[in-house]
Amino acid sequence: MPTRPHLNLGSHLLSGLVAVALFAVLATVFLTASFGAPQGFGGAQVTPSIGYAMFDLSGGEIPSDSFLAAFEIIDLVLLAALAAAVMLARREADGKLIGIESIRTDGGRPRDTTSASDTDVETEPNAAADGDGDREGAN
Amino acid sequence: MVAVQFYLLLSAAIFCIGLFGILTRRNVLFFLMSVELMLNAANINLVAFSFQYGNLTGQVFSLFITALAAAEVAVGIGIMLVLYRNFGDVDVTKATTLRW
Amino acid sequence: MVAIPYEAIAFGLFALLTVASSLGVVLVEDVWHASLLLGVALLSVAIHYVMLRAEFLAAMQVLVYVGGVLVLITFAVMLVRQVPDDDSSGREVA
Repeated sequence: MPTRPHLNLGSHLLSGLVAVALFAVLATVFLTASFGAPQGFGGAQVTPSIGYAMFDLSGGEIPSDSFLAAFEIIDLVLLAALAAAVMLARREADGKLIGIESIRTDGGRPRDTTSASDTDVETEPNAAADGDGDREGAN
Repeated sequence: MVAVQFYLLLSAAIFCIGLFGILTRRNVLFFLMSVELMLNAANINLVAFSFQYGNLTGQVFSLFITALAAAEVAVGIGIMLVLYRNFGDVDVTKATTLRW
Repeated sequence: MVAIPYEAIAFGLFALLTVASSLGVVLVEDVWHASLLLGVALLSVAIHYVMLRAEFLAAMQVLVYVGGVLVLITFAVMLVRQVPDDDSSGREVA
């Protein structure tokens, strides 16, 4: 059944004051600064120029910096993010969660063995304690 | 043609709304959405100045920010799933194991 | 004849939409409503991009944010959402 949205209007006085004060400072600065008329891009083509700028090619109609090095660095960062997300979220083939056994994402507290996802862990506590060394043998 | 000040005001407003969301909410999902709002405010700023000065650097930078925001959300959701798995909740104030 | 400032009117309307839906994102109670309002905010930001002659960036905003980030957030909302107890609709608690 769809429900209409309700607002969460608790007492957030300090946070609201911080946000409004920051906005007031920014608005004061922006409205007192003087900018010229916007130059715009004229009749130049914007999208091909983005491509030329991003891959450090000559031929763009609009002046820009070149971004080839930044492109490669961000490529590596995205690859690291992909690997990290997969490592955090994946399961083994037998349904056990990687994070609980090998990474200790719970901070090392005594594990809740009653959770439904790892029922077979308590039968082999050594495998859980040794980390990922025994995971291949557990299969 | 809208002057650049109004775009700056819009982006400042969105940024402050995102900041307010981060300061008041305790749910990880609201954190992620507020961070998205703040990144969008930065993008509006960059694109507005790109138009103001007739230079494409702001737009290319904004594209990079978009890609990084997508990756950030993917990793953030991975962290959030681990948080939910270990603490049974997505409340960031409950994950206090590393605190003194 | 006075020229009607269509662009200023459009900017005002869509800025109002953007700010209102952003306020909705941080103020609304349910996280599912917040993610829907985030979609509205992201789409209206794409309209601002079009008015700033960044058409490619507007397309990327719609593709990456609305098509990628928002779908991921929706996925996470569906995974971890806890229906409040006073919801008397009788459905299964996710």
